[in-house]
Amino acid sequence: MSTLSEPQSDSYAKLQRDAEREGKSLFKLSQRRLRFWKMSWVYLVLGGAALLLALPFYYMLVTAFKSTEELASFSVSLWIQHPSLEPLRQLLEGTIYLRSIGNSLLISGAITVGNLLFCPLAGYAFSKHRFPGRDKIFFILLSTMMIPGAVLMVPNFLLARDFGWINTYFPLIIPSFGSVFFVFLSRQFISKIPNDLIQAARVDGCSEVRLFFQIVLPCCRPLLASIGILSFLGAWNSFIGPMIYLLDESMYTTPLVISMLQGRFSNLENVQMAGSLLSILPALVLFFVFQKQIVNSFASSGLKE
Amino acid sequence: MATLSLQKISKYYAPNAAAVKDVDLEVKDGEFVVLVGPSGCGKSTLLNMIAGLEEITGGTLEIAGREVNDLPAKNRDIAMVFQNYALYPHMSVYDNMAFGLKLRHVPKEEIDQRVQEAARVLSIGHLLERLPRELSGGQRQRVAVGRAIVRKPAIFLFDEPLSNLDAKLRVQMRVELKDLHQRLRSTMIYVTHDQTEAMTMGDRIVVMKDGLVQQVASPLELYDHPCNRFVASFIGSPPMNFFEGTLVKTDKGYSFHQEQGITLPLPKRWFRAAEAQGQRKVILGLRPEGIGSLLATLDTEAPKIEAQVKVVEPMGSEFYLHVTTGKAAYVARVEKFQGKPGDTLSMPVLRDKIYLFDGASELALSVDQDLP
Ligand SMILES: Nc1ncnc2c1ncn2[C@@H]1O[C@H](COP(=O)(O)OP(=O)(O)O)[C@@H](O)[C@H]1O
Ligand SMILES: [Mg+2]
Repeated sequence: MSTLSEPQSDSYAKLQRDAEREGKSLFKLSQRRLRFWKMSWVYLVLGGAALLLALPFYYMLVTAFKSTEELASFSVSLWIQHPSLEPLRQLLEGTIYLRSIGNSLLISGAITVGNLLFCPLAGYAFSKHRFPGRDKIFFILLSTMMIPGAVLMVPNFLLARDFGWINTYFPLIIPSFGSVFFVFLSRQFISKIPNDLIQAARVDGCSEVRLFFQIVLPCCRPLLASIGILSFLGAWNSFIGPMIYLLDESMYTTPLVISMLQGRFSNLENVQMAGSLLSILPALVLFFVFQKQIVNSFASSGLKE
Repeated sequence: MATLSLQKISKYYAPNAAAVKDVDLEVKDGEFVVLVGPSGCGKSTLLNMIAGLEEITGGTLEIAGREVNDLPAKNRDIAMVFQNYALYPHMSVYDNMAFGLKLRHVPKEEIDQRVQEAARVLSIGHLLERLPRELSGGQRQRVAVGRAIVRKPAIFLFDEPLSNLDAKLRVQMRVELKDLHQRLRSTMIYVTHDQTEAMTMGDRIVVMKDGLVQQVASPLELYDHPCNRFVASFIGSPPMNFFEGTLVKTDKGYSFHQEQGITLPLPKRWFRAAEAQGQRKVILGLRPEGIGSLLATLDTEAPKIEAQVKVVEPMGSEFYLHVTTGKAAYVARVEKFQGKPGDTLSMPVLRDKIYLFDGASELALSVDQDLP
C-alpha cells in the first residue's frame, strides 16, 4: 500500500496505478474488516470468558492488600485506595502460615520425588519388559482409575489407623507414590522409545539398573517435567487427605491453614485473601520456570528427531 | 574374532508359530555372512538370538566353541549395528562410542585412543562433540558403526544398517563396510532384505523364508544354482522369469511346453532330469540376462523364442525389454536394442541361464553340468 519507494515521475501513469492499487487495497481492507467482524463474536465470547476466569484472581489480589478500614467502608469494591501490608502481617503473625508452607513443601516434595522415581520405573516395566500377566495387571491398574476417591476414604483411613499412621505424613505420602495416571503416562511415553536403543545399550554391556537410569530416564525429560509439575501441584493443592489424617495444628498444610482462616478471621476477608494469594505463589513460580517444558509435555512430546 | 555355530536354532513366539525354525549354520572365523530374505522371514529374530537379546527356544548356539545359549548379551563379546542407528540421543558422538568401553572399565587413555582411531577410519573425527540429532543419516550410521568397532568384539552383527539411507549413500556405505571387513578381518553377520546388498557384500549368503533357511551358499553359487524357485526368484535383478508347463519328448530330445506360451527345446544337460520328471508339471526359469543377450547370440545352437516387445526400459548400458510370447509375459535384459515396442523378435536363449523346477515342490531339478 505504501508508495514511498515509487519514483516521483511519470505522474499520469503513476496516478492511475495508485488508483488501481488503492482500489485493490480498499477491497482487501474491506474483506479483512469483514473477516474481523465475523470473528468478533468469537473474540467477544472468548474475551468475556477470560475476564470471568480472571475476575476472582483480581478480586483476591486487590482484597489481599486492603486495610481493614477500607474493607469495612465499602461492601464490594474492585479498586483499592490505600494499599496496605497489614493483612499480610496479621496472617504471618497470627497463624502458623509459614510453618504450614514448610509442611506443604515437605509433603509435596516427597510425593514428587517418589512419583518421579517409581512411575517411570513401572511404566518402563509395563512397556519394555515381558512378564507373565503384564497386560492384565496393567488393565486392572487402569481400571482402578474409575473408582472415585471418596469411596476409598474410609477404608484408607482404617488402614492408616491400623498402621499407626494417623497424625503423620505417611498416609499422605506413601500411597501417592503409585499414581496410576502417572504410570499410564510413563508407559505411553516410554513405549515410544525405540527398542533398538535399549537393545543397543544391552549389547554395549549395560546392566538393567544402569540402562534405566542412564539411557531410559535421560530420554524422558518431557515426561519427568509433566510428572513433576502435575504431582507437585496436585499434592500442594490437596485438601481432603491432610484434613482427614492430620490432627496437630503444627503439622497442617497450607490449604488447611487457609480454610482455618475463615473461622479465625471471619470478618477479615483481606487476611483470608492474603493467605490464598501466598499459597498460589509456588504454582506460579513453577509455571514460569518450567513454562517451556509444560507446554512441550502437554503437546505431544516427540522423541524422534 | 571367533567362529559361530548354530545348531537347530528355533524361536517360537507362540506354540505352533515358529519365527525361526531349525537353523543350522557354521560361520568361520573372519567370514562375512549375510542373512537375506523378505520382510518378516525371521532374520532379525535370528540375529537377536545370536546377540542374546532374544531367548532361544530350541537348539544350541556356540561362539568360539563355547555354548552361549543362556549368556546375557553383555557377556557375549558381540557388537551390533541397528537399522535406525539407536544412538544414545543425550550423549555426544564421543560418549556414544566410549559408553561400551567405560562400562567394561577400559582405561581412559585406551578409550580415547580407540575412539580416535575409529573416528579416523570412519572420517567422523570432526563430529565427536556433536549430539546425534545434529548429524545427518549417513553420519549417524558411521557413528553407529564406530560404536561397534571400538569395542573390538568377537563378532559384529548388523541389522539392516543401510536401509534408512538414500540410494546413493547406501552404495557408498556398502563399499565402506566391505572395506572395513577386509581391514578388520572379523566375523560379521549382516542382515538385509536387499538381494543386491547380499550379493555384493557376503562371502556367504543365507537365504531365509518363513523362518526356514532355504539355501546357504556363496553369491555366485546362489545365482548359478538356486536350490528352489524362491531362491531363484529372490536372487538376481531383474528377477528370473518363470513359466509353468510340461516337458515333452521330441525327436531331438526334450522340449519345454507351455499352453499358449513359450515352447523351448532343452539342452542336453536337462535330458536326464526331464526323463525322470515324466509327465509331472515343471516350472521353467529363464534369467532375463540369458534371453537375447550378446552372449546368447554368439551361440549358434542356442534355442530361440519368438517374442513381441511391449515396453522398453533403457538403463543406459542395457535395456530391459518387457515382452510377451502368447500369454506368457517376461523380461529380457539385452545390451543392444534398436527396435520399438510392437516389434517381434527372435531371441536366442543362453543354455546355462535355463532352470527347471518341479511344479509341485518347486525344488530345482538336477542338471548334468558337464553336458552341453
Ligand atoms: N516380539 C514378538 N512377538 C511375536 N511375534 C514376533 C515378535 N517379534 C517378531 N515376531 C514375528 O516373527 C517373525 C519374524 O520377525 P523378524 O525377525 O522381525 O523378521 P525380519 O527381521 O526378517 O523382517 C514375524 O512374523 C514377526 O511378526
Ligand atoms: Mg528385521
